[in-house]
Amino acid sequence: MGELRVPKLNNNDSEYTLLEWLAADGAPVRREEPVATLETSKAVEELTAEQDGTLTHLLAQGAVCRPGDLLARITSGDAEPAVPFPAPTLAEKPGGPIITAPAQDLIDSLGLDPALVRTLDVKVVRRADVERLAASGSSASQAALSVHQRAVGRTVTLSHRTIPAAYTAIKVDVGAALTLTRDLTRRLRKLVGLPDLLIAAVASLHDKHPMFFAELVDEATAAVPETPAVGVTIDLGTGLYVPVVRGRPGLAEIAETMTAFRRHAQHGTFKEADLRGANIAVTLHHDPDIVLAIPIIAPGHACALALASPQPEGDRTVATIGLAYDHRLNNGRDAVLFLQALKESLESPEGL
Amino acid sequence: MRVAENLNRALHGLLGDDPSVYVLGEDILDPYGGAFKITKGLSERFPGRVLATPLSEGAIAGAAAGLALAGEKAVVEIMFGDFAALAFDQIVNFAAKSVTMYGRRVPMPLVVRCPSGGHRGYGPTHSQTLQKHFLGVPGLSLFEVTPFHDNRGVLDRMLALGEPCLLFEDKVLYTRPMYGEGAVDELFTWRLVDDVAVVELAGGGDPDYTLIVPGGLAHRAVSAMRTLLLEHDLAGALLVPSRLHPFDPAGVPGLVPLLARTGLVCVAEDGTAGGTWGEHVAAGLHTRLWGTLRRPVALVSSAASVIPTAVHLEREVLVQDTTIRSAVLEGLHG
Repeated sequence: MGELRVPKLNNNDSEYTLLEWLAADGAPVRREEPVATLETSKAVEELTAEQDGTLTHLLAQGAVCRPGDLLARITSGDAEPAVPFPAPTLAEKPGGPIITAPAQDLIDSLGLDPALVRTLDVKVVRRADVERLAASGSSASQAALSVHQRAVGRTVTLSHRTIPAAYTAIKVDVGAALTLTRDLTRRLRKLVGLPDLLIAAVASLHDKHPMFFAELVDEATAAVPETPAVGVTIDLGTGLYVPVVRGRPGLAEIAETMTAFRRHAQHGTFKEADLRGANIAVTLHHDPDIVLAIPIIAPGHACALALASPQPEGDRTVATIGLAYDHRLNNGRDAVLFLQALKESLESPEGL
Repeated sequence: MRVAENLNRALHGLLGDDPSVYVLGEDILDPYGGAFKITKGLSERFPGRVLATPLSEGAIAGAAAGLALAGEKAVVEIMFGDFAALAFDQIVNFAAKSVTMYGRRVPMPLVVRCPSGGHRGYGPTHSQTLQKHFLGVPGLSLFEVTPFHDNRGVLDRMLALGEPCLLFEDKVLYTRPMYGEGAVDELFTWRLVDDVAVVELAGGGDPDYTLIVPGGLAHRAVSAMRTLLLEHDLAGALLVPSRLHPFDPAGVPGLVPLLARTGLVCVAEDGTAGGTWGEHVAAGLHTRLWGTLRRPVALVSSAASVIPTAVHLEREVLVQDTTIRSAVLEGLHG
């Protein structure tokens, strides 16, 4: 069995680049046959095999190597073929963080589970990180999660695991919309708010932007629903609910439905039917001074919108509306067009 | 792109953009293109403005300073920085003084390039790092090539200063790649604060120590930082200025918080011990950050010795990554 090592090619360079493998991994090579090229700072040199045999690459093309490093092995033809050689040490810890020696000593002496160490969100695990980890393990009290919260947990985990989401936000002048809600509240004797207008505006976009209401069936197919069904997040401290406003009702009807939803949320009296069948979601974060929220896209949805709180800006009032969207269904340009249409609709709310 | 190519491109760009720039030096014409090939291709592309000179550093620096005084711009290559000693009189007594000796400020756009440093076995008179001999000359600025700073920007800045500048180029850098945008390696990132490249551990918090080094030492400093992190759990920051003199890190607002929070400041350089650049920087830090610094500034320089030719002896005299590592450990724990 032969080795192919990096030769010293000049006096000036401490390292070279493995430019190209001329013979493929596993290919049979002959003595004197060029198998790889190395780039120094000044030239490209060919490396030849020193014996006949089967070539096994140990470094990837493009790798930086130093004189003496092992590049490949060549097993002679009639010896046991293609013994799988261990990958170089660096490749042995795929994905795991780098652990400093003092941190490793502490991990070993505390007998900490390596899987627990891998949960640390750091590139380099230092001694202080391990100390923190050990402390949190011993002193944290445990709290059971409610059935409801566990269901939320499953949904958001599924979303994060399966939906490649992108995010775009737009600033909307909500002055006219707020004036309209005040007028309507007085006129209808019913509390009408910005969320009601947003629900109406989103539903009105269904015709022109159907792909934001679509469901991805498989890699190549999306199901486009015939009517909008806008899910709205309501959390009054009794759990997160997403009841659905169906079709394109008028503002008065939306306001009435939302009032009923809030009552159900408070008393826990939602029916399954209230919560089923949404094809888009609006999440409400319009409490004072909330400026940005990134919503979770419900599995089966194409996007989710987030309404932040109205803020004074000069002599106007603006609110940021964010759109998290499944990038498999829509691209950034679509998101911008969708948000612009939404903005236009909310800034001239008399059309709703 | 390697540092040598970056320098070569910078000179090509400069001569192409500014017809008043001349380049002077020994053996710089094509096809030879200079001892380190930094001037490669210049003489063929800009005939008449790339001038091969006799072997007299005094004459080269004097002629270049004369060009600058007459309203042109000049870039001089001293084949080995060690020979800048032969041009000392022209640089200090003629070029630097001409800025202020005529009753009004006279711009002297002159750059003297000095390939410097050892680690190549070139012996006592071809391996030196002579910055310290040019410190504190009124009207003279010192710069050093780094793997962070694009050299076209550095050349433009030096010529725009309107006073003579020395540009030290550590020869070990020539064959090393320039650092790309933002990343040094998988552990460290870098950014510019003023003209100072700041290398830090991504998300590392307050640094346990901070190194300040000229560009030529950048790779050795990063190597020391890796070992200090992985084997000793010490996270460091590294400051690499483009201009070495005048240089006052405590006067850069963006660097003061970093210097104030660090456990130890260590200044390392390749020049021989005694009367050094690092001592000057340390004196400034002690004065300005007295009461904030946690420890005295640690200094690293090459031994007070000639530089031997034999590689194993040269290694003992010059600063290595291990020298920096030991200085940090000793400064923090010793």
